[in-house]
Amino acid sequence: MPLLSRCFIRSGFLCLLLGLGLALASPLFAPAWSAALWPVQLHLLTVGWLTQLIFGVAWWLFPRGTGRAIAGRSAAGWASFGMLVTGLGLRAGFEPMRWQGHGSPMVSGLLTLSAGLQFVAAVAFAWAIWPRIRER
Amino acid sequence: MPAISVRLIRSALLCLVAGAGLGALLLAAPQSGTHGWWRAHAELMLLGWTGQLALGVAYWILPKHATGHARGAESLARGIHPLLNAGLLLGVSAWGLGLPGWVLAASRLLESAAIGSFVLVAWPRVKPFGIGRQGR
Repeated sequence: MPLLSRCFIRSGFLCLLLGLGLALASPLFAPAWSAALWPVQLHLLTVGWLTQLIFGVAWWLFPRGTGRAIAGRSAAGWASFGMLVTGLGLRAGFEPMRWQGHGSPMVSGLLTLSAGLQFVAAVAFAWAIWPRIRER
Repeated sequence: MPAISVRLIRSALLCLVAGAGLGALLLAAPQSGTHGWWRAHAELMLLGWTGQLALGVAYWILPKHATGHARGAESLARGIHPLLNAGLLLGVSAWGLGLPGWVLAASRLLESAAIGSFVLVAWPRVKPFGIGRQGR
């Protein structure tokens, strides 16, 4: 299994543990905190776990090409991993603060950065894997 | 990879990019999004990205038939991609733009027809490896 796949899949496992941990712990929090953590919990499971697992397995199993155009796209795959993890981490750290009413300009700025990173990560992965999705 | 899987997986990646873009806008400026746009984001990510990807990969990778059409009724399978994506387009427009309820109902009908076609095509292919190949 390629290194990038291992990174995506292991990072996915960590997000699964974190998402489930939050789900287990949320009855212990005050209702306002529980509600503030809900979007983070949802995105840890759908983006952090499910999407990273899909990215990792697709990078591993989709037909490999030998052309330079395909080989050259692994940098985009790595960029996608870095941006997805950073974007999701920023979201997990700062989104609950906004839902709690602490929407300072710094928090808003970091969440905008997180949004941009996650979007560009999706575009980069789609661009990196696109030539490997082909008829045989 | 068969042409039907190529179309489904590439459309899934486009839905990922569109859904992540919409999600990024909603995260960066939550006050700009109505409830409908959140539902549109969820529809793109759950049915358009993960659901459509699962259909594409399953159509490619499930055990093939030894005789006749290797991947099942091809005429039925060819309808899956247009039906699903027409349904998604209508559904996302209906949620986002607040179109009348019958548009959403029509989108659900198209999506259900796509999923129903997929189940009919894939059902006989869910079998132990080798069955049908050696007269078993």
